[in-house]
Amino acid sequence: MLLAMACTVILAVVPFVPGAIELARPRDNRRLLIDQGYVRNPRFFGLSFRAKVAAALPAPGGVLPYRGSISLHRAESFEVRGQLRVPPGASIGGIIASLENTDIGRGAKLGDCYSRGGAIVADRASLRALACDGDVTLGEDVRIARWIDASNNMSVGERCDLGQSASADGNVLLREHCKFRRLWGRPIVTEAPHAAATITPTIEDVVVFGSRGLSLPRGTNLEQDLVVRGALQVGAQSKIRGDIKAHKSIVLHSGARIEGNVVTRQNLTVVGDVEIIGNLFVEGNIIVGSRSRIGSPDAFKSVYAAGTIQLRDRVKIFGWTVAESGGWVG
Amino acid sequence: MALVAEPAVTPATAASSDQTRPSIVPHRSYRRLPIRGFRSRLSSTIIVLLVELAVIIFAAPVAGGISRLVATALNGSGVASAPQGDRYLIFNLAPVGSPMASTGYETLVIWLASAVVGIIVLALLRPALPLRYFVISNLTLLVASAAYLIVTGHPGYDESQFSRVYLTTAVTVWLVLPVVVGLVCMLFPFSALETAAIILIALSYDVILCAARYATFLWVLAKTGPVLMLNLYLFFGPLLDFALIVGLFSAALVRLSNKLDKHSEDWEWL
Amino acid sequence: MVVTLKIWVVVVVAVMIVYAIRHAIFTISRLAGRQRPYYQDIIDGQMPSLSVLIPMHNEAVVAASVLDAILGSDYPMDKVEVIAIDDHSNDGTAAILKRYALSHPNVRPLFRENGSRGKSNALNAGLEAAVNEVVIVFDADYLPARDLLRQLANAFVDPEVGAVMGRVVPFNCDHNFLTRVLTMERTGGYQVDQQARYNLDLLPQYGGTVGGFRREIAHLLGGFDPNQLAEDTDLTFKLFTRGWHVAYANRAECYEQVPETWSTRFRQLRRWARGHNLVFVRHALPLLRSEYLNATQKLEGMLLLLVYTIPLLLLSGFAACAALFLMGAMPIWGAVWIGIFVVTYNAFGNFAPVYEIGAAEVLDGMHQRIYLLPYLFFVYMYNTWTTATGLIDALGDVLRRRSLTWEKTERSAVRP
Repeated sequence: MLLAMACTVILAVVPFVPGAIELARPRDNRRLLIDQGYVRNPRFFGLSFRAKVAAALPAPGGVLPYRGSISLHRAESFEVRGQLRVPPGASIGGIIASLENTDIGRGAKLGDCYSRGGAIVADRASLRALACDGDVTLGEDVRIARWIDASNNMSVGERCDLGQSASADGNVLLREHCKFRRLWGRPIVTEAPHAAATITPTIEDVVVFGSRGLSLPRGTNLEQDLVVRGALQVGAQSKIRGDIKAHKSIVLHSGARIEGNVVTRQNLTVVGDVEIIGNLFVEGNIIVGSRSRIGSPDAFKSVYAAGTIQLRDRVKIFGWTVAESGGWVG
Repeated sequence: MALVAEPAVTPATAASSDQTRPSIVPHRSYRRLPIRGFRSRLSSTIIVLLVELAVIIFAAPVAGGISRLVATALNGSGVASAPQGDRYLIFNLAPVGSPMASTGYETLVIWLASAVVGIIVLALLRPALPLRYFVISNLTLLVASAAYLIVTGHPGYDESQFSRVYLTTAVTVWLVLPVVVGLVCMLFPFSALETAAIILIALSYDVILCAARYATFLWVLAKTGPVLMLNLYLFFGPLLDFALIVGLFSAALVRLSNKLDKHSEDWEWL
Repeated sequence: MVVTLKIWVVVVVAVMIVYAIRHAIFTISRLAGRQRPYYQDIIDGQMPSLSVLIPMHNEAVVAASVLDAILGSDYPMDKVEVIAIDDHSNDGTAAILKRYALSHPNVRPLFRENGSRGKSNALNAGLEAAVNEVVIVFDADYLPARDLLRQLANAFVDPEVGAVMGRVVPFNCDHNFLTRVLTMERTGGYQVDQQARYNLDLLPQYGGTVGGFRREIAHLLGGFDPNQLAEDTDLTFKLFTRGWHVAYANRAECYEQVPETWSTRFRQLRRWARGHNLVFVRHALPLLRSEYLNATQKLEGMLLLLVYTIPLLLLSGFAACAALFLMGAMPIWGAVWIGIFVVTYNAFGNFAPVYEIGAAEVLDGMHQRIYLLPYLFFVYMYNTWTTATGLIDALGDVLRRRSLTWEKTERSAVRP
């Protein structure tokens, strides 16, 4: 009977023992870390990489090539050259820095690279990351595994994959079939000749129409915020000064001008030649049609899609683009 | 304005695939657990069903074995006891019949007064509030129990009825536990093997606790009478089972959390 | 009598199972469901103008810290006015505010010496003085990070958003058992509960601090009611029942101080329960009648309004169980039902909030503290009794039409 009682007490108490140990000798009582100095910066990867590389560079006038080590996530080999020319097909691991221009040959493979001058990356080369203080030119089919950042302009050839983030302090020119997730440029411009969608005229061209949403006809002028708990179509050549939101999809037809933010819980289609001085925030996918412009040189904006972003020809975006499920040009 | 979409020129996969995703651990606000594959969930479901089937098959024999063990222990400590027949759902159970001490009027008044004094002392001493509330709740139940016995003169449950209530509750816990624990485990990326281990450990633990607790309860009632019956059942009955389930579950979660920390690539982005 | 008690037990257990299912749905949504994106990825060259309100009553210990933190934000300061409202302080708060006003042109303190004290009154005074589009509110003991204003302001790109709420993170987690437990409760409440409500398009709450709202809407709605203790919950329901939404920003984290003594926590929880139940009285019918909410949102709204009523219900159910047991009448419709109800409720109903917190700790990457989960049982019992007293206070307020006095939570001088 004593055994039964002892068992009862012990078994009843055992679930509390690990907690009691933790209370008596805390191993996990620290507060959650909040980085009080954190500031969102679209060029974060490039700038933080440059800071680490700058700290590891040899003193001016030192012997080149210089070899050392640098720690990003872990210790890696670090090589510094005056001018970097990587022959076609070559493979260089670790982190490499060039104090002048960088020329990466066709099919070459590199890890993280820093270039103080400009950088030319030939077709089918692949890099883990690239930070460049000058202009960057990527050939066709170049693959960036992580990120790429340029202090000036960036020109990206067809079918390049820009990894997690591509940013430039100048403009970013993307050619057809490029893939991206995050872009920053002032502006981002696409070059992808593409046939425009055809439109079939209906009653919605002529009247404000509501069936399972709202359809504004061609030439609507509105100076008000607009919220629709269904789908929304904004007719061609319409002008809206205000934020617009729909719980279902939004279509902005050709020539529309929106001075405000565009928010939708589903998809957004910008047919073509639309100007939006506002942010796009879309929980689905975005298609930005040819010759559309988002933001302006004085007002950079963001294009965010929880799904995909498809940018057609001659799109111009001043600011930040995030495609959580990936984006492409074409 | 019907938009007729032209044939879309879309690449087979948009942007960087998972193979190229760098090992950037997402901020905690963006994290989601990896979703278990269909096969893994199916395996876990099968395991739960198998355990449930095992419980259905073995509940009665196990309960019978517990009854015999408890009766033996009680007899060994001078409390004459024997299993008796009973039917609960589809199970033939054998709750232990054992005597319960009869409590005289004076004894009940002492219990009542002691409980009241205990409440007052706690209110004056002011220990930490959660402890104070826990003990006061128990003492309140004791006051209610003693008062009821004083007023009515007899308990709501006699010894055999209490024994029956206890055993049927225990069997119900065994029936419910695999389903509840299994469902909870499905939310987390435990493997089918881990799920099975958690359920079986919880079940085994509960069976042993039930047996030991059963003997303890009956012995206490045999010595003190029915005044503590309410406290024993309501506070140290199924509520204790809940505590042990949470305790075991938390140990499993700690292990999982440590594993996820070591393999940061297992985290999903939103 | 016995039948009544049995029916009552069935009702209580049914309600608890509903809440248990609610917790389970939230946990599933947060762990495995599609997470609704917040607006933190917006980088906008034309941010809205902000009025940051900080009500203060005897906050000399913390006033400078919160002002420094806000003035150190990366938000364009030409678009920010900081309105610290000195509410009948009799320590050095006023002197500190005057000093900041001299050195920072965008700090415009208000000094309230007349009129009733209280957070609602202080906020109303601040609202009257505010001129910018968006109002952000901080309690004086909070320490916003540099990007927090931007993260909160981003929500207002959406014209349907009337208010936004960030995540509060206790900084005095390591002080004692109470602060550790409160940290776990906050973690579950924000990382899982609020985010899940946001995911599922339900009713995330505006919490009155680390949050903000559109100034114009606050004016339209008549500002804050001084007769409401839970002015934040009041605003939440005013917004939802009239068609606006509250956005939840899980990434917008800010340190706060949680109570360090049980008696402080008792007063805080009692006040919350009292205020929340008063909000229930005011908003239950408008919630059910609102044409802007669907059936699911209305159901969730009712469950949310009743969250501080449930503990007394639970106590009454427990008492009914005890009574039935004493009378030997536990089998409700036969022996089967004892277990189904008592066991299901105990094994599953009590378990539900625990695994919500456990899930949240896993997401936060916290390990050893998960071992404290079994101790939450004792804390829940404490919470149950405490919130029950708050409900009784609220009933007294309603029946006797009492006016309310505002009580501030005590703070310690410890800073992160």
